[in-house]
This record gives sequence, C-alpha cells and structure tokens, in this order.
Amino acid sequence: MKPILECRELSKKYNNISYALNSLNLTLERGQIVGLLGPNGSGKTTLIKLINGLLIPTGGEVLIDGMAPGVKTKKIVSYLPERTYLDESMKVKDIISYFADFYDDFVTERAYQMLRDLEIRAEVRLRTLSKGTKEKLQLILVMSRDASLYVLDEPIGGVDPAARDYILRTILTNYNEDAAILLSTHLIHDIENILDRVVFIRQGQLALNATVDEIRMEQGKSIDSLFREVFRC
Amino acid sequence: MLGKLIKYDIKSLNRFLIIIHGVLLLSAVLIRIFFTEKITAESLLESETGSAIPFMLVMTIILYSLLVTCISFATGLIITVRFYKNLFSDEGYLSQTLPVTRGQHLLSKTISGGIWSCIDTFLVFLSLYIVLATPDITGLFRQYAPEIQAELGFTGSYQMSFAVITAVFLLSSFIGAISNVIMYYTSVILGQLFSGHRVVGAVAAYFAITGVLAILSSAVMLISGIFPMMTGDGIMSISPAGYMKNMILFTTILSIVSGAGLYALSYWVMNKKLNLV
Amino acid sequence: MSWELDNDRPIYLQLMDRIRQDIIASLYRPGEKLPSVRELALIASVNPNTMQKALSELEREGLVYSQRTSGRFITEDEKMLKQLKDELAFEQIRKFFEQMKQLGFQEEETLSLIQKTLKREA
Repeated sequence: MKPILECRELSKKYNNISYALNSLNLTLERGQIVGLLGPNGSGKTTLIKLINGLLIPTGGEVLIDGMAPGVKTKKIVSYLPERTYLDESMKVKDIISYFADFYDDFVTERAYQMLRDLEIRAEVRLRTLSKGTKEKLQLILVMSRDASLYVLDEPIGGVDPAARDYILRTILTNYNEDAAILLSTHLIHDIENILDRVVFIRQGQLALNATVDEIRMEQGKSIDSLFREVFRC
Repeated sequence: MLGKLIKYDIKSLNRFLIIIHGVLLLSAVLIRIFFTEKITAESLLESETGSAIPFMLVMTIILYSLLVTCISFATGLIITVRFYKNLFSDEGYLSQTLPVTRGQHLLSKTISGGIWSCIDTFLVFLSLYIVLATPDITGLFRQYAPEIQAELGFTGSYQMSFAVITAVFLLSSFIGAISNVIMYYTSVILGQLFSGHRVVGAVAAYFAITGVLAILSSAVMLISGIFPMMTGDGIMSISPAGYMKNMILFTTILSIVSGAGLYALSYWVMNKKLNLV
Repeated sequence: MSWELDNDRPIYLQLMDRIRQDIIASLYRPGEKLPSVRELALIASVNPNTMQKALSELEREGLVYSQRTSGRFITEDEKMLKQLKDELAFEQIRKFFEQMKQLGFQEEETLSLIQKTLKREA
C-alpha cells in the first residue's frame, strides 16, 4: 500500500520572495495521528494547503495515496481549514445535505448525532451561530466523512475546554487503521496524549519527525517542553 | 457533479435575483396600469400646452430606464460577487476542496450566471413590452406595420416578420449577456493574480478587457466597412435595416469570439496559476 | 474522565502502570475481560496505538492474555497477581523510605515513626 502522504522536495514560494516551504521531504503512513507543529509562519498552513490543492507547488511534489492533488485525492481527504468557510446564508441542515451531496463518504447520521451531542440545532442559519459553534460545526462536517486522510488545521484553537475534550474524543472515536490524521496546532499540551507522532517544521523545513514515546524515552521530556526548547525565541 | 454544482449556484443566485426582477416586473405593471394605459394619441395631442402629462411622462421614462439599468447592473454584480465569494474568498476553502475540477467550477458558474443573465435580458424586454404595449399602441402598430417595415428598410431581401426580428434580436442579446458574464469572471480571475489588491486588480482587469475589446471592434468595423458611412449629402449609405443587421451580426460574432477566448484564458489561469491565499 | 499522565515518561509505560494498579485494586477481577483497545483509549483520552502498545507489553509480561476473537482478559494466575501486588508494595515502600531519607530520617528512625503512628491511630 502506498503511503497516505508523501512530500518530495516540496517547495512553495510566494511572490518570488522567500520560501514558505523549502524542499520538504516527509512520508506519513496510515493508522497514525500526527501532530504538525511549528511556530507561526513556519510553513504548516502552506503544507496543508498544498495537500489540498489550494496552492500550486513552486517545486517538488506532494502525493496523497500516490496521486497528485485533484478530484481523486479530494474524495479521500477531509480538510478543516483554520478559518470558517461556510456560506452564512445557509441553514445547518442545508450545509449537511451539501456535504452529503458532494462527498460519497459522508455519513449523515453521524453528523446529526454529533449535532445533538453538541446541542446545535439543524434549523438555524449559520449567520446566527457564534464563532466557536461554527468551528464545532465545521469539525462535525469534516469528521462525519469516512476519509483516508484527515487534515485538520488548528482544530481546537477557538473552542472552550469542554468542546475541546469532545473534539479530541471525536477524533479518537473516528480513528481507524486505514486512515491517518494530520493536525496542526499550537496547543501542544492538550493533544500530546492522542498523538502517535509529531512533525516539527521550522522555516519551511523538517526539524523533527519522531513518535511521541520515542521523544519521551530519549529526551525524558514532553513534546510541549521539547517544542519550547527547539523553538526558543 | 457538474449538475450538483449548477443546482447550488442557481439556488444561491435565486435569492437576490428573483426579488429584484420581481421589483422590475411589478414596477412595469404599475407604470402600465397607472400611466401608459391612460395615454392615447389624442390625450398626448390635446395636452400639448401646460398639461402635466408630458412632464410626468418624461420623469417616468427617466426613472424607469434608471431602474432597468440598475437592475441589469445589479444582476451582473450579483453574479460576479457570487463567483468571487464562492471560489476565492473563505468559502473557496470549501468549494475548491470539493471533489470537482476547477474547470467544472468555471463551467458551472458560466452556465448558472449565463442562465440568469439571459433571464435578466428577457425580463427587461418583457417589462418594456408590458410598459409600452398598450392596446392603443399595438393597435396603431398593427395598422401601420407594412409602412413601418418599409420605412426601416425591412423590404426586399430584408423582408421579415417582426416576430423573427424580435427573435433574432433576443438571441443576439442572450449571446451578448453570456459573453458579458464570462468577461466578469475573467476579470475576477485576473484580479486574483494581483496578490494584495485582488478586488482592485479585478476592476482594473475589467477596464483593460473592455478597452481592448472596444479598440479591436472599432478597428474591425472600420476595416471591414460595416461602419455606417455618411455620404456627401449626409444620408446614410445603408438602410436602417441593413445597418441593424450588420451591427447585430457583428456584435454577436464579437461576443462569441471574445467569450470563447476569455473562457479559454480563464480556464488556463485557473488551472495553472491560481493560489488560494 | 481522562487519566492523569506525567509529561516526562513515555505514555505507554504510564498506561501500563495504571492498568496494573487497576488490576491490583481489583477494578478488574482475575479472568475478567478488559474493555477493547478503542474503549480504553477513549476512557484514558490517549492514542489507540499507544494503548495497544501498553496492552501488548502487559501481555508479554503475562498479566493479560488475549483470545483471538473475544478480546483481552486478566490473567487467572493468582500467584502472578500476588507477586505483582508484592512488587508494587515494595516499590511504594522503597519510594517512601527514599523520601524519608530526603527529610533526614535514617531507616530505623523511620521504622519507629511508623510504629508510633500506627499506635496513635489505633
């Protein structure tokens, strides 16, 4: 089986100025929850956008299950951007049928179950939801798919601790051996225990790629403290 | 997938466009009931001096044309904004990660925008008809149809019924409307290449495209000689019908050619150049 | 409720400790079936692979055994459980003496303090 994600010499330059991503080589296998960590501006979001075909690489290539980003990869990648991308004029139930319409792997019942758990009503317009609730709704949409690769950009950034726990549990519940979850965050401490592996990115390049327990075994410290050390300002 | 995209695009456009075209038709009906219906040839002649009708008539015509212009402009704007918002604002993060190609997005938007642009054109004609086609006027028109036709030059080889003339005119307008939509989209897409000034870039691109098209079309018209030449006596060298035929033919071909060219350009830029930042 | 975990030790080792303790504390009886990896991972709020690793290690130690289709069970080997209990007890006591030493008490002193405390409480 091909690796679910493979970056070969992947580079991205904006406006011909400086590299946001510089010859990145990275391979991720299925069945893992991977933390993508790095300070602001290190290239995390650039990498995530390249995986989703929102950016065109300046050099190198990114392969999802052996394929360059396109219709086929978009069918198997479930992406949560760091911003709200919902059409505010829609109702909650409209956006759910929208997802069900376009994604064959979308499980509508699961989405409604999670809406009930988080007490979001299906009849309301998105415009009336708070920012935190919109973020929860987006995560529900993304996690209601049976995708092969989940790419979550700051999934727990803007929500309260109770919802954060629910989100982490949702991620754990949906985890399966054939899928991989790549999630970027700066709240390392909160998610450290659910990760298999962490990937540190610095100035567009790979700084570290190891399992959480390897790091703890060898360094005797948490990812959080290692991160603070590696990226000390 | 294309069908689904079109369905959602049309649905989204419907929200505003149905309302404003409702306003258009309603105001046409009101003008007809309270105004044009009451005007007869006699009343116009009788009220020549000092009566309020001519003044009111002028005002109504001005306001009505203003309304029609605004609604057509708003239609174009709404279609263009939908294109921009759905693909290149935050919503683009969802649209562009749907399992469809960028080409399908462009096609879906062109079809949905094109359909509404044609509906707009048709409804503008319809509203004109509602306002103007009072029994008095249609009666007069029917009575003098052959004379009017002869006066405009629709005789001999140009002989055709008004139904056919209207159909040709509508068809040509539809093609122009669709071509316009493509031009708006191309402007937005080209604007995306100006990182940091995407909206300003789109407006600039729009003026650049219209400018280039205007220069090109004048050049072609001058060279090909379908430009209406004045003879030495100040008389048109060509009948109004002949002139109209040439103009319609010319603008239609121009619309088709520019529409196709701009569509190809949009397609290429979308696929090869565009980053969603 | 997620489990309390330290930051500096490998997570799977901590999971093993926790499950050992739960067995000693008779949260699970000998021969009883353990929840599935996924359930345990959810209860602990940890990565399922890490939980899997902890359970495999416990299996290697013989504290749990798996039956191919029906899941993982606590060992019925009472001797082993007793031994585990003793080991954990020794470890606790060693730690205690260590801490007392840090407070400046020699082992004899600590012992007599223990006896004093027990008498007072009785």
